[in-house]
Amino acid sequence: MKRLERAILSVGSFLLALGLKPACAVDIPSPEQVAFFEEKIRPTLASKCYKCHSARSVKLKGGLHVDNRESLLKGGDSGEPALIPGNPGDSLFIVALRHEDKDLAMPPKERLPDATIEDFADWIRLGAPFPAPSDGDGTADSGEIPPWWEKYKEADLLPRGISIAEAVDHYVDARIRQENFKPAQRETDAALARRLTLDIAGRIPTWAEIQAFEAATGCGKTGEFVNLLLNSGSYARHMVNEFEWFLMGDKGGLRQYLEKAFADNKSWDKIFSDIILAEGDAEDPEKKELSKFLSERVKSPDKLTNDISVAFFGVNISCAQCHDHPDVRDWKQDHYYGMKSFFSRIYSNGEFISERDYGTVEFKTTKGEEKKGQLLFLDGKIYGEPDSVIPGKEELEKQKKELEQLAKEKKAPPKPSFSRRAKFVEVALGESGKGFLSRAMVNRMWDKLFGRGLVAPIDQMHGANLPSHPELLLWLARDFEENGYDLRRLAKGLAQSDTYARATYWPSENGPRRPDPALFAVRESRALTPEQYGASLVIASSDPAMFDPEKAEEFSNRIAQMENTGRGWNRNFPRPSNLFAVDVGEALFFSNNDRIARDLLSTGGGKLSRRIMETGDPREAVAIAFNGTLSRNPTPEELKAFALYITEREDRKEAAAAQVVWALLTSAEFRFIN
Amino acid sequence: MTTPNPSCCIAEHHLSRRSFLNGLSTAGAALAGSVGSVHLFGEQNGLNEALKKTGKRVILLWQAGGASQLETWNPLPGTPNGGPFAAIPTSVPGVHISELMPNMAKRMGDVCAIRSMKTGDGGHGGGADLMMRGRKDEAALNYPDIGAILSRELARRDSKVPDYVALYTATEGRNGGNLTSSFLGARYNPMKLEQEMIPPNLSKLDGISDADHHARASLQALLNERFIDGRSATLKSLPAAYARVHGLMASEELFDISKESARERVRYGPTLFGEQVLMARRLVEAGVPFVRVARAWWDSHGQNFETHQELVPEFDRVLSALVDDLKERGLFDDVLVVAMGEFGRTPKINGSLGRDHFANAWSTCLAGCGINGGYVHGKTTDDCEDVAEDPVNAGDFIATIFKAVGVDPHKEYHFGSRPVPLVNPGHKPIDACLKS
Repeated sequence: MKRLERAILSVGSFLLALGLKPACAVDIPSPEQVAFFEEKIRPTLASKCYKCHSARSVKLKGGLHVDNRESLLKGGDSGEPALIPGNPGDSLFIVALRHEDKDLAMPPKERLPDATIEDFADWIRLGAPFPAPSDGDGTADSGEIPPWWEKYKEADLLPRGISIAEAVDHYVDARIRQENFKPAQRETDAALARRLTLDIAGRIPTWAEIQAFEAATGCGKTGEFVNLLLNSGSYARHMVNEFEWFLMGDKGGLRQYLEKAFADNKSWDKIFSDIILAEGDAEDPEKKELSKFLSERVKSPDKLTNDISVAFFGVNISCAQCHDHPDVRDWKQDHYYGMKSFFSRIYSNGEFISERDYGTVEFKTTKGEEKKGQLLFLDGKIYGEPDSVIPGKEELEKQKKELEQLAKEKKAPPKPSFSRRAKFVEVALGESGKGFLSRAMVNRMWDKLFGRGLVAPIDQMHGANLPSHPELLLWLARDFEENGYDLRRLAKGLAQSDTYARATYWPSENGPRRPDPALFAVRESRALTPEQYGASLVIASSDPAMFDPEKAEEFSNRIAQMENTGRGWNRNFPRPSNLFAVDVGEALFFSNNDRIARDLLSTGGGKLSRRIMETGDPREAVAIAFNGTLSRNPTPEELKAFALYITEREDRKEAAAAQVVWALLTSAEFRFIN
Repeated sequence: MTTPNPSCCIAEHHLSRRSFLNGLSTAGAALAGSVGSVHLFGEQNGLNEALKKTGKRVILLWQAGGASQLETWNPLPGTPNGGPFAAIPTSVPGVHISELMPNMAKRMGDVCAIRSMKTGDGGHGGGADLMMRGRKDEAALNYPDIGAILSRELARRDSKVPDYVALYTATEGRNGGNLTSSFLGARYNPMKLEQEMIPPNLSKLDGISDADHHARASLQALLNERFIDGRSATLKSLPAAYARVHGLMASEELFDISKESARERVRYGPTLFGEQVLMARRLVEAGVPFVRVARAWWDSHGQNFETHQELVPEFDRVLSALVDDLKERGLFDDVLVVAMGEFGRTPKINGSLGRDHFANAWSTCLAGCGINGGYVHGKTTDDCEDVAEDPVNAGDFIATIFKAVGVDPHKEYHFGSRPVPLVNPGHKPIDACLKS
């Protein structure tokens, strides 16, 4: 009964909002219906159902197609209609989604969230309008379907005056309540300090840092701890590692620039324009380095287009290179070649980067039509530019010779009379474009701190892959834009939220089902990056007495040196991806490699193994080892087992100490951020 | 029992494997949830595991640099491009191959030669990448190579042996094909045996006793048991990896070919290539799903005939030894043997008496598991400049390999939210090469 009431209420308010009346048959869906379908229904059908129930299915299951209305009305092999327009309660489709009948439960291995099932019920109540898919002619038609964020009026977002943490907790908690979960409890101080230090400073905390955090009082203590981390050299070095990797991949190449940028807290819009407008220079190493993002990619305009779209806007539009995206109406071939047009005139000459004054991207649509790319940004708008003239053959020859000469003399090539990339930066930071940049960075930072983006994966920010918390993403993006694209401020705000501080542990009494990670009701663990793992191994394998909080300068120098040493371990560890699993090669490396034994487990001076060996009481030694590596005391059971391990090896104390350290450093608790 | 070798210590661990699998499948679901993909890991308990029980495996003999089709499977003696070597009849009436392969001529009924490879990339790098994947990488997506995909499809979760081993005989072209598991994860990267025949970190260091090596692992297990329960499923991959350590260490013997009988060692011959292929047979027998042995360097721009006079007889001896060996051990129906390089060589003989890169009409060979032995697919024109009948592109060739070992080539992985089929749309297996 309750469910029914809720359903009526929800469809009532929903229909009211759209100004729609339900109908039993819908021939031509209205624009609102189309928007609802494209936003709520088609993406789920495509990602959850089409594999087995569409023209695309390799093996069609149950003879049922769900990719068009007619087939749904006809039904599959059972002969019964899959849905009855206007009547979700009697529609088999809804019965299947609700998993009420064991033999008819779809998708078979996962029950969709209640809210999604309600969307389908609403859709059937409306008469199940099913607009035909995009006709795939490559034409941008963003005017037809408004982008998802336009549905959320700015005035409806939480006000500007509140803190980032308040906004985060407000939106996240509302969604958790809506899904009938209770969030996981708050993490202990020690575990929270460890998480914060790994996320912000890229290393585990020392025992002294943990103790300081535990001893502090007052509700502002997390903020103060975060401030300390943000202002440390570790923060800048950690951000350099992260950003250099996502901008440059394994090759690297922006290190000096990024080190300075993060030390000075350079704003993200500035970093973006610095990189896109870089001109290089033969004599100036700084300028030359800054141009690496472009110069590494300039030979392939497709790679340049794709990498800029992914890195700065969170959109991977590469599919649209060959065809309109089958399920995403906001990505057409026009968009791809529109973005490419901004970059196609960029070239390198010697160590310099410049742009030609002419050149057009041409492409063929899937229907065979020849088209020319225009300056079309992701906002769907075409930006004008002066007409260009392709020089004649002789002029081209002359220009080529001049460029060769300039390269030889290490001089800059001429600047274009109209710079398409300057236009690009202007548009991307302008009123209509800036949301793409800010949403993508907010989402990336969220992903970094919470282990999963508000839009996941982070390179798939489009209308068919909506954010888990759309208003929150929009609030954060607005806040980021209006506060100078300040990355430290953003990180600090997110890290101070209650959402950030939730435990990774989900006790069975909280309910049998662990909540969907997208709810952020419980924290998910994620693997350390190679840099985090390397630095943490070096710090943890040191004698805790090496870190004296009273000697601030010695402390920060020592940490810097250890992080640097840690980078020497990088190559031994994979960079975690969405599909991360500890590799057996890594397990063998830790089990049998000489370098592990020699460096990390060594009983030499200043090492944890030595400290354990020299501590007379095995129980005290175990406590030191746990605090130095896992930032916590051992449980009684662990204390007993580890102390016994040491006691039984009286005849080989060095070996015993090294083995205890080995077990701690290779544990899952150490390998992941929890 | 899944593998013919009864000593490969799988049956006695049946129970622990079961619980291990359950653990992993939850891990998969959670991971998949985080990328909006349910297909990559969602299959573990059911169908896929059933398929894995079939124990299909692959040995790929990689002819790095590109072997000449004219001096191997598609001789054209007496024509202007034919070169000095004769063609000899084989055990299959009407089929002739180069006189440099007398041993394979006797075994032609066991193999399927494809004479109509038309793959379009005549560069070493691009050609090798293409032939190891059946497609080109995209700006936004590096595809896993076929070894990574097949080790993922065929490897058992709790395997006590490596999933993918790549051996190489020389330094030139060593990275041919850019072997990588890409988005499939580090587990399916090849274990490369290039410097030594034994994998790194497989032997215990002297500083620790065998008993302590196990004891400290139990300390680690104690920590993990307490911590992992009630937390993210991704954590379970760590004990899963460490649980394989002692099994793999015990497989050290596998990499020691001195354990093979004198008869076997003589049969494969005294060359490094011969020894490595013998090692490959040891590995697949123990359950390794994919082994690539690369023999370099076939790139005969000059002195083509001397090069082939040296390399083809070795290839002939090793391949025929492998076929006989697999048959004697009852493995021939379960192990697919593939012989190919990145391309073939030009019919036209250049001024240095060499043949250059040629991807327009060249040959490969398949044998064993699922293959229609004795069949020759496709035809070139009389001068071998082009394919006359049944051209085979890289995608169709790779699809054929998948199907031969029972893997659906149209199965989809998901990279982010993007579906990635094992072969690109429009490609399909060549059914004539497969046993019906």
